[in-house]
Formats: sequence, C-alpha cells, structure tokens
Amino acid sequence: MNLLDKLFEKSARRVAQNSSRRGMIKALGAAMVGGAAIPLLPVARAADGAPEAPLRPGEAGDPTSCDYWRYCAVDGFLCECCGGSVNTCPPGTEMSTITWIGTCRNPVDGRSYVISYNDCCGTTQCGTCLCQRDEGDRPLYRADKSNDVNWCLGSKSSIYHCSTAIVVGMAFEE
Amino acid sequence: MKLTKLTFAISAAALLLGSYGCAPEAEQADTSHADHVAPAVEIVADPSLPPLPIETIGTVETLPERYPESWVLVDEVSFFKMSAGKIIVLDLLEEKPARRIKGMMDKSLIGNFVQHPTRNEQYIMESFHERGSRGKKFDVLAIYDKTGLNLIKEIFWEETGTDRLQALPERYSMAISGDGKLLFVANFNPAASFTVVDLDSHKILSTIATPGCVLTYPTGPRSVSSLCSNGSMLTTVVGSDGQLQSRQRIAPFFDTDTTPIFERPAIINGIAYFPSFTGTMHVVDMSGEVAQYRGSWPMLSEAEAADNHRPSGLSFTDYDDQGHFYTIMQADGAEGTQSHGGHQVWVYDPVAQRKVREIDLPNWGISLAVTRGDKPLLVVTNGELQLDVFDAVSGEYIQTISDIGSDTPLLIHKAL
Repeated sequence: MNLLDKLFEKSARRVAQNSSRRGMIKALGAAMVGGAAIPLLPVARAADGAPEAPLRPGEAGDPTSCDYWRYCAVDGFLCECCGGSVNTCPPGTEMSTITWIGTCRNPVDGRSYVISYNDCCGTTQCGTCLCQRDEGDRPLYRADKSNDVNWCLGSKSSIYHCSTAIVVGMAFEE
Repeated sequence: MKLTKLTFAISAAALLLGSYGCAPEAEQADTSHADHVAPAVEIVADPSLPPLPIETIGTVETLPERYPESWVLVDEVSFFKMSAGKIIVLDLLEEKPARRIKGMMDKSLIGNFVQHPTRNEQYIMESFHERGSRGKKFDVLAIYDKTGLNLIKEIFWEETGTDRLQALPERYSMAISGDGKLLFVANFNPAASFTVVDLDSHKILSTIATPGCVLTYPTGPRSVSSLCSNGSMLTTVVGSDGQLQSRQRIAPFFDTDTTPIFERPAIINGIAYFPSFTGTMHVVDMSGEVAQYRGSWPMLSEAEAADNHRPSGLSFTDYDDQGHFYTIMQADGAEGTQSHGGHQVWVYDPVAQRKVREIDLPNWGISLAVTRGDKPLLVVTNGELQLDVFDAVSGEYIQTISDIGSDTPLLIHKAL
C-alpha cells in the first residue's frame, strides 16, 4: 500500500480506485509525454469571474475519482467531494485568486487543456478524496506548476480546504 | 489546597477513572504498548511496609543539549488537520514503544523547522489566524531551546511586509548561515524573498528579494543560494550587517520543463548534490561565498536507465557522516511519479560518482533520513505512514515505529 492509498484509507469517503495507482499514472504519463504543451497564464484566474458551473458535454469520467482527466497535476482534496464541484468551491469558502496550473489531455476530444487548480480556502481541511497525480508538476522553483505550495496564500484566510480543476483554455501544442 | 479538599479531588478522580474503565482492575489491554502489560498477579496488601515517599509536584523533564545519535526529529505535517502540526523528538533505537517519544513542539499550518548545529536553539516558522481559521494571519518565528523544548522568543513577521513560505516541508525552507550567526527564512507570497534574523539579538535584520528564485541553501559563511525558474541558481551574499551585499548567478544548468531537478539536495561538506527526475546528479559547490556549478554525472547504468529507475519521494535524500548520499529509488518510473517514492534506497559515494550499495525496503518508501555518527541508522517513512528503521551500513531491518502521535510524518531530520 503506498502513501496515497494510506491517505485515502483515512478518508471517510474513499473514491473509486480500482486499478493500481502507479499503473494508472504510468499510463496517463505516457499519454502526456507525447503531447508536451505550453501552458497559459498561471495566476489571477478566479478574479476573472465565476467559473461555469456545469461540465461541458465533451467530457467523460467521474469527477469524484482521482483518475478523472482534469486532475492530472492535482495534489489535494477534491472539492467535488466536499460540497463544491470540479469548478466551484464549497459553501462558506473562498476561491484562491492565484494558483498552479497543469496541462491535461481530454480523452473525449483528444485536446490538451490548461487546468487551473484554484484552491478553496477559509475552512479547515476537507479531509476526503485526497488525490495526488503530479503529471507535469514541478518543484517550487517553477511555482506556476507546483502543487506543493499552499495557494491559499493570497486569500483572506490561508486555511486550505480543497482544490478545484477549472478549464481555462486550450494548450498550444509545441 | 487543604488536605480534605485534596482527598476529595483524588476520590472524585478515581470515581471518574473507574466509570470510564480506567481503574486498575479494568481489563483494557493497551495492545500498542503490549510489552508494558504485566501478567496478572494477585496483590496482597502488606500494611507493615513503609509508606511511599512524598513526591515533588511540578517537575518537567529536560533533554541533553546534544541529542544522542539515534534520535531524529519527525516533522508531522498533519496534512488532515494542518493547525495541529508538530515536531516529535524520537529515539529510533528505543525498543519500548512507550519510551520512544522524548518530547514535542507545536508547528502550525505546515510550518518549517531547522536546528542550529551548535547553539542550544531550534527554530519553527509557523502561522496562525487570530480565531482558528478566521481573522488576521500571523507568521511567527518560534525559537525553542533544545534542552527544555521551551519557547525562548517569538518573532512576528509583520515587519517584513511579506509572508513566509507555506508549502510541503523542505529541509531548506530555512537555513543557518555557515558562520552560525544568522538564520535565513524563505518567504513566498508569491514574490520570493528571504528574511535574515540575527541569532545573537534575535532580531530581524533584513528581507532580501530573490526574484524568480526560491529556498535557502546555505552557502559559504553568510550567503544564500536559491533555485530559479529558468534553471539557474542565484547566490545572495549577505554582509556582516545582515544586508544585501551582492547577487551572483550560475548560468542555467537544467531545463525546468524537460530536464527538471529535485529541489531536495543533500549538502555534504559544502557540496550540494541535486538529483534530476531521471537520474542525473548535478553538483553545486556551496563551500565558498558564491555557489559554483561543478557539472553532472549519471546515477544510473544504461540498463538501469532503460528500466526507468528514478529517484522519487517526498523528502527522500540525505547523507551520512561518511559522506554517502542516500536516495529512495523507484523502478519503472514515469512523468508524474516523481513524488510517489519507491521500493529501494540507493547509496552513493558522490565523490567517486558511483553507487556503493542498494537497500531493499520491505515496504514502499516515501521519505528518509540518515542519523549522524559512525553507526548511522536509516529511517524510512513507509506507505503505511510508519517509520521503518534500518542499519544504514548493512541494510539490516531493525524495527518499525508507529503510534507516535503522527499521521503524516513526511519529513524526518537527523538530530544534529
């Protein structure tokens, strides 16, 4: 059992993880390597206005599951399990205005999208649906791509609650 | 308190304990500390024995100023309740579970920690909101003594005009200067900088910007090196007054997108060894006033590279006093698995640029530390979030430590 499984085990609601996480990540990683992409802007996404609530028709998968396509570079509790959704924060929290991004491939249309992982802040840790994927994640020296930072740093409260995964644009293929 | 009141208090406490099944006769075995459960023996009271001596109330234990070699300081990140983080002082060789913990210090909101190598001080950089998760945030540097784990001083960060780095714990989010006189603390809001604290006066001397560069790798007597977003390294030279003296840069030596390195080096005798995601070791000499790049060498043979062996984990590098570099290794790695850990620890002679041994882990490994001294211990945070302890030289498994009041021990520090 690896770290992720152990942390999941601590959660009251265990998200679906039917296959080996390492195997899953390897498969997704291989898919990503071939489609290296240039990310777009990393910051100030939430300040642009409220994200669209419904998932678009051109998507498939379970947003409560860690292997959902948008979560390729996520590391945190999924807001989808915490009273929010893949692109909204739970009631009573505040969406961070600065964040990190990933570039994830949507299996339905084959395109790569820039995903903004805005944290939701101000309430103690959600504590369920922990998901760590790390594809394209980089250490702190690339802050725009680092999921190790507590991105609630720019919010009224620095208390981290959960993470969203918001489509903010298509990635430019190199 | 008068004797009658004291007697009443003791009786009331005994009643309460009894009602919760904690009285001596209650049959509740503590399986976690099973070696302390003595076999049931009928005790026959002997009134002829002398009464017990009167004991002193108010005694608090202390620790040695130099912790024994087998001790470590476990950074309990408390990822599920971040306001309840702590540092746990732990003896890895103590066989009795109930005797392993030597003390604790609070560490709020994924705080950062560093020990002074010679002073009777250690430092925790942490944060609080006024009312739990609400109200004004305070970043606070808490200075503790090693012997009493007592708070010596709190230094509030407001005057710096910035925020301390709040991220998963790093060995080099704080650093002691080479001359031992200054503490460097990384800031990130997301503008990067570091704050200089004078350790004689316990006062902030300056906050110095490091645009695009993060973390505080101690360099020379009073310099700080930081890794930059373009793959270069910035050295900030600090004057004797604690102010910025000069900035020097190493040219980019890796590509942050295509050939990234881990920001978690082991610094051995002033030489920093940074493994890359795919197993190239980059060497930076930090022994002088300004960091110098000393090139790179492959950590993997062609066959190992073909099998996609990779360094991996959360805080997965360290060194022993014999100069060896330790890293958790993962077989069959890929993009995205760089922080997931692995099933082996590989040990290198970094001067000879060769691997000297492999240690197979019985459990998946996430983070590690190596203790100081002639007989170093290797401690690995395993996938069950317990601590597996090994003889670092022979690789022999010694014991697994759990039940230490820790849920997410993601970083372990050797006792200095």
